[in-house]
Amino acid sequence: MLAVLSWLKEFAQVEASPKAICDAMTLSGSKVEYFHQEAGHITGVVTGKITSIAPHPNADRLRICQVQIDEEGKQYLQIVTAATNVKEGDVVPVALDGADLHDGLKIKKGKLRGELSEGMFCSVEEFGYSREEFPEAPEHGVYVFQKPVTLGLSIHEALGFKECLIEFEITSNRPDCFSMEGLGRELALTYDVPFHAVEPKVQAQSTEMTATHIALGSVEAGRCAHYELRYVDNVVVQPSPEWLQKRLRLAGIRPINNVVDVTNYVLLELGQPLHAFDYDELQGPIDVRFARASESLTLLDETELELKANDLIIADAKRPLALAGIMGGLGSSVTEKTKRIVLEAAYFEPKGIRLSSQQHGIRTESSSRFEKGLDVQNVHRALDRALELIEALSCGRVSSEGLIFESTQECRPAIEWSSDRINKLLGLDLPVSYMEELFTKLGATLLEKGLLQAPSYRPDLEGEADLAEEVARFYGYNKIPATLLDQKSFVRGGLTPVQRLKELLTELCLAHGFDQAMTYSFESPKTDDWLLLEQESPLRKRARLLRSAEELSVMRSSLLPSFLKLASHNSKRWVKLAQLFELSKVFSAELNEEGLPSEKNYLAAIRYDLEEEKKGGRGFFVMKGLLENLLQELGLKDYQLRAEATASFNPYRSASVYCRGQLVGQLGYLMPEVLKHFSAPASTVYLELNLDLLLPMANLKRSQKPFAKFPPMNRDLAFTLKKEHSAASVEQVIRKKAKPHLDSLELFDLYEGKQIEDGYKSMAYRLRFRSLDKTLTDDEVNQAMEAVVESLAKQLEAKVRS
Amino acid sequence: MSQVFEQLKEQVGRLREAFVGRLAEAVDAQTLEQVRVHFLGKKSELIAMMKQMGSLESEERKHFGQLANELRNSIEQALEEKLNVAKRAEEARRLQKEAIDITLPSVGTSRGGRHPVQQTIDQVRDIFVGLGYQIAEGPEIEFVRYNFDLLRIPEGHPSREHQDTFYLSDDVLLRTQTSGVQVRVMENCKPPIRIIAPGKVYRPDTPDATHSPIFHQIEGLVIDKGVSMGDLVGTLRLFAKELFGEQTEIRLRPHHFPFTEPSCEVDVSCWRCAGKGCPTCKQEGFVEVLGAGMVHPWILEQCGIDPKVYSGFAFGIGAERVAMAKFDVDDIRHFYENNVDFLKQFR
Repeated sequence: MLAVLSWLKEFAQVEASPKAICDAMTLSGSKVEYFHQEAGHITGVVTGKITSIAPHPNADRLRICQVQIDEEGKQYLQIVTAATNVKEGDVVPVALDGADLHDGLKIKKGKLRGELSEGMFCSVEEFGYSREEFPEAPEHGVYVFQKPVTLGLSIHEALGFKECLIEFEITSNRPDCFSMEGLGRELALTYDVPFHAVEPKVQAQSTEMTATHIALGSVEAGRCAHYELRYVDNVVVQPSPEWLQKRLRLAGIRPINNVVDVTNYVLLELGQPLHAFDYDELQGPIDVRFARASESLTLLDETELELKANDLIIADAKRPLALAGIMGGLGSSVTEKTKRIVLEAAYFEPKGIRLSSQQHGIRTESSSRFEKGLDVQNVHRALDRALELIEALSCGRVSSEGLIFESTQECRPAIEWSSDRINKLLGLDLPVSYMEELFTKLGATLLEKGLLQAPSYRPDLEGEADLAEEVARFYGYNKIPATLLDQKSFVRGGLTPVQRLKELLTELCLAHGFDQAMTYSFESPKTDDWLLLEQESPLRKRARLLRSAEELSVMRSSLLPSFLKLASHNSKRWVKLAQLFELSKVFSAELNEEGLPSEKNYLAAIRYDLEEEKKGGRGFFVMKGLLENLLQELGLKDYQLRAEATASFNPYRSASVYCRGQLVGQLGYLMPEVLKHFSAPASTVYLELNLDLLLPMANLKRSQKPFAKFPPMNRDLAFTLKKEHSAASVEQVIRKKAKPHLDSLELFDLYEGKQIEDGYKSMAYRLRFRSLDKTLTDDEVNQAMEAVVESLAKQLEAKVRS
Repeated sequence: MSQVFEQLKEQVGRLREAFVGRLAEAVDAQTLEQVRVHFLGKKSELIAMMKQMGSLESEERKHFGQLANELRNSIEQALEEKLNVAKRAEEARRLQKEAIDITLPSVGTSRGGRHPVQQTIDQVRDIFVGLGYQIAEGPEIEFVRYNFDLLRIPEGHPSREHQDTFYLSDDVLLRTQTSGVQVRVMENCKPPIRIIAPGKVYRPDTPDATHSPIFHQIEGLVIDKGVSMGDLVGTLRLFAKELFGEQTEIRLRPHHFPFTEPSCEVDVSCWRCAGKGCPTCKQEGFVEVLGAGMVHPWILEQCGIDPKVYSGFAFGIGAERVAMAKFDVDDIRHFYENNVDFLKQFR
């Protein structure tokens, strides 16, 4: 809401700087978004009189002027101008050296074609205005003062740029503040000065009654609780006086003519929209009714509207006249020819206005106010205020009596309150008299002890808590003494076990060199196909968003697509190596026990290295290392990796992760087709773990067992065998035979290629033997080694290399 | 004194002098060993002299024995001392040869970084955990009831419209605020309640420098007997000082939230300029960081908590907004693009 400070001050006489007023209003609850002085960005412009004009020796189009810029005649400037509309003796605005003009223009003295120019003559456009505000200004050219004016006077004084405009952010609970009066009331309360409400007095000198001229037919009471018409004749449509036009313009409304301007003035002043019909365009009684099928209406702005059955309209016997509370029709609007008018004031239900406004996509000053819910008791007063202005401006003769429809209003219940409870809630200790006085100033009526009736313009005051807020606001939020909670009722803070586990996993991923990511939860439905999901895959059962852009229209069922996008984004930005992880949710259309689409907690990690050699699959083993540490952190050492073909994953370079027989995750490289869809690099490796399955298995208990204290003995063993034998199968054979004293087993060399037969590989292990209760002898170890070698040869046809 | 004794005694003296001379020449372990063999070895003069001892009188033998032992001991001691010096010198030379270039790169993985928004959430979380708060969670896909109805957000309120809320059906949506967690907690727990609820929230905003369709809020809720607005002020002041520094002051501005009454927006004095005015605070001296208020009695009642007995306060913080301010991030989209070159700055 853009307010004009001088207008607000009509309601509350406050002597404070605009800045101080803005700060005080913000702290009492009317937040100031910004304020600015009228033409506040213009500096260094004064009035000056052109005392002589001479031709420029070097330019036909330029003239050299001597300009007097003080009353005493001591200060003169030389100004070179191209303006053609100035003559000797004219008083004009002069921008001095260093002046700031509109649009960031800065004036500097200098030479124009060899002649010194110490400033510039200005047009009103150079102050950000136009001929609308200054009709006396020439169409092109320098502004020339029409009336005598002191020389050397600042332009703000000379042209009356004195207003201050304040933009307030009004919260939805305060429809009363969408008016100068409402904000004026806040200003009065903020500074604790008397508030002067608008109390219109209509002369109504005409003996004519509205009812003689027009009848009010049916009114749809469910959508219109109050409807009023007043007939005005002898109307003279003409421009409004300058002061009224200026206020409208300052508040952002274009002046049109006196009748329309008066309705807009009251809209701004009291927040109540009004409408004027041209009486001579009306036929028969006025109805406030729902539109009928196939009815249409041409609005003031000339848009043609197909009305809908739920639109509330104002209609006469022949046709719709206005879309109620939103915009009037062109056919019955006030024009220069209008001689008689009917002025309308009404209360329309917010819901209905919102509906019509939405379905036709029309928002106006009027509709936005009705939508917020106006004060039904303000309607009559606002109409009177308009009539008062019409009389004051001599733009018509007001009929003696109007037509009023009123539906019975339920009385708002009184509010029960106690100063003790309010003080306790706020942590204050204010006397009851302070509160009573404040509530009275707010417009409330104090009933019997402990009860009050809130004013009709404050629908937000419903209960004691609302009154407490009023007390806090005007006492000062920042004067409330800071206390800390009663520490007697102790509550233990902290993380739940699951939150703690997630924190451990996060810490581990970070320690492993993975950066934490945050990704979107929704994606395109095309993702399913891009991931090569089978038709019956449960991941296709997506929770879907209504009316959402396609690329954000389904909730993700896996973190994979989000992470492929990360890989793609980073590789396109020349990030050589990316390692990212996130603990986040995935979603499914399947409903949980509450009836909501279910949510599952997952951990995902991705890695690519643009310089990774394809052959070794190093990325996989980096990720496997992360997996092993994550599981170890959870106390889950007995996990298995199974080579299973899973959608999206490269079946030869991926694995499923099993814990206690349950599938808990996936790990591996992805299908080239999937990578292509997301334009992710070939070296992308992805790990995903279902935390809802894993975390309940976690075992953080650790207990000490006997550990070896005797010296170990090492034996190295190198052999060749067929490639298809996995490391796991080799190790299984070794472990079985090397028992019971095998302490550790480590692969220290793996080789394929030259010197090794095609289809074979060479492996070298270091076996470390150790006993818990003695120093082992060579014989014991040698025996174990012989058994290992024999078993490897027999079961895997491994040939020991010497 | 026999002549033999005199000769031997004189020989001891010569030997001592000879040893001092040889010792001075010996510089390393090897030459020192040669000196030892020469003076103390089986074929040494000293051993030969000892063999002559038998021909001496018992008094003389005793005397000479003393002299010889003294000589041997002093030789051994001098040799050992010098040998130790030599060994240390040799060790030093060896170590020097094995010197490493300490400026070579380190081995092992470098640490990853916590996401800056998560760092902010964690910091806030830790402050409140220290004040006895627990961490509550709620679903991201939520009933309209919890997100709007039970928070007193009336039907027809603009925030309920499709352009401000992602809907999955008429009564299910993606939560637009973490405030719904408040209601869930109050429905399920008896006071005293002290929780914070950090989490993702969603609004259909087109991404730009300050908007993202997904962002994080941190909700706080306290319900107990006799909780006052003074407690809210005290709590938020403590919080602001912890998060932004001891010199930080807070400023409350009355505001409207349907679920709190009285309600306020809370500004903190700018941590960059200490309230003097700078680009971070847009010359205001204060930066808005959160919304708060006393829990509306209607909500307490809906959750089965008697508003005549209990009162409480709630607050909500936008994590991205604080993270952007704290880390000088100029575009909220950076948080969700996860460019490693961006993220690694927060490691």
